[in-house]
Amino acid sequence: MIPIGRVRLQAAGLAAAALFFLFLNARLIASRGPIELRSPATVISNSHPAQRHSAPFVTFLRDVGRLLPEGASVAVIGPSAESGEDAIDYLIAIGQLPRQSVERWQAAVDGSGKGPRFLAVYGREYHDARYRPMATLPSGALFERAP
Amino acid sequence: MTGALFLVAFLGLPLLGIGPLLWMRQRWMPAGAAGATACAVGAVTLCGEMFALTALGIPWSLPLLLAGPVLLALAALYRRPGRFAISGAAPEPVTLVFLSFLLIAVAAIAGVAFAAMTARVTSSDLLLFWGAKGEHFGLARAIDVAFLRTPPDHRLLHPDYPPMWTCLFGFGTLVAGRLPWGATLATLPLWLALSASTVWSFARRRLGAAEAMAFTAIYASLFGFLLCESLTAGNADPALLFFETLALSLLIFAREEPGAFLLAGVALAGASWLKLEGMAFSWALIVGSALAIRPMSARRLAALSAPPLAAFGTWLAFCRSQGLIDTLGADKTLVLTAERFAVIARGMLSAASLHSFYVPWVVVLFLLVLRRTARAEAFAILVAALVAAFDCSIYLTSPIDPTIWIGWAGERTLLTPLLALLMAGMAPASRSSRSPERLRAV
Repeated sequence: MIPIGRVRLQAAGLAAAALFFLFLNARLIASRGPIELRSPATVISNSHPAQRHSAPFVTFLRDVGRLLPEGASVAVIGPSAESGEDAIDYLIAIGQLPRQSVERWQAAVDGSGKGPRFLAVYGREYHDARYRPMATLPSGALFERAP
Repeated sequence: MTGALFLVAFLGLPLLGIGPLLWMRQRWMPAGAAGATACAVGAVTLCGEMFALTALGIPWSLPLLLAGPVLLALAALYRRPGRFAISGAAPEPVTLVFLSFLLIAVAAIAGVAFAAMTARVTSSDLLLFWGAKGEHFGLARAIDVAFLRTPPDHRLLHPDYPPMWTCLFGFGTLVAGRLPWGATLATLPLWLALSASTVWSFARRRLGAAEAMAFTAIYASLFGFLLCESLTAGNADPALLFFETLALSLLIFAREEPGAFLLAGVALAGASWLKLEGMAFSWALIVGSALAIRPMSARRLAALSAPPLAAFGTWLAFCRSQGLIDTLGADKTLVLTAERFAVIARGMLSAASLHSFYVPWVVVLFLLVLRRTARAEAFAILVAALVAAFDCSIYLTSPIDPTIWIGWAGERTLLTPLLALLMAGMAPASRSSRSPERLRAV
């Protein structure tokens, strides 16, 4: 049995530590934007700045997904396309367009094959005679292969 | 609506575990502990079914997945109706101390729920791996081997990573019709609440209500903050914390009870199927228990080690047979230079601050010194040491600069050693005392 003095010390120590962690979490919550009971636009919209930069791209893909038929093939030119480090864009597109067949955009652009039926282009102008504009979205456009 | 259905799928996990649990459990288990254990058994049973159906080439369907556990529960109720009885705890007076700690625990979980549901604590891992894979599995009605094998891009999805979390997302997708991304965030507070109730329920039997609630409050506030800080909403880490907490609770607070080692083994199977860190934890707990728990019979050791070894062994065999081996088959080259060791030590020391000025370690030390339970619960301290050694060995054999890796995952990998030490600090001061009344006197 632990002596009662130590029990009191334990209770006080645990209470102080628990309140400290509550404070740290409250500080973290406050640091990530205004406190409001509203659904965020995406699952990363209010996260750490290093994580939330993909949020507009996720919103774009969600808009694209609404316009595409199930099972359609699509390539996505994402925000990192120019840098060549676009594996992340591709993985995000796979997750956000689960009912479509997502292909790498290089296959659509280099003209080596038939290419996907649709091409979603994020945040830039795009012109390709093989694809005709299908829809203009707030942060990009959707194209369909010309017949 | 899809979000609600997705969460119902998760909330229904205990129902899937009741059948197996009815066959195994005795009357000693209180309601909260029984619920938590049923959830663990349900998740392992469901994942086992999904894995087996994939291996047999049979598409998943809800009737097929639910039939087995439901029939088992009905059969158990028919044959052993007495086992449905739940142990009731002796009533204790509600004290101010109890209420204060209860308020802290509730506030901690509510804060985590708000942080998670407003997308403040999400990492891209949810978008890139867990959600993407889980939704594809659910829509394909299988662990989609063809999808995982598509070279070379889908290698980035870690095709050989343990399957439970993606299977649970796949199950939620089956129930809801699609993966509701927003609802996946709610899994963080759900698992945290379940973990905290596990601590409360097991600890109360041995420590009394007030002291158990004090430990529940520190557990919920400490791990609530750390899970938020590690950006784990929608990821497998909160579920891993639950399985680890359950295994440790069973061995610290209930190891003399019948079936405790087997149920701890089932929790280890869940941990092994959740993350590679869970596999390391399982090995550490098995070794730590074998070395430090007395008496440790061959039967106890077999009950503890067979489920996780079977779980991980079958997954490894499946990956090998399907050509999915990636991380698990990577060549490891031990780099033991003073420079590398110094880099890792510096990185781990920095990560160990856990964005809270090392206070979590101070709390652990405070409890271990004050309560002097270290000797009785040496196995948990051994677990912490073994897991920390495993983490360091991963960094020592890393093909990339360990600084980067520690920056990514250092804090998260320290949660398991911290949990083991905290649980050791919570252990009853005397193994013979069944329900000492201590904080009630404060």
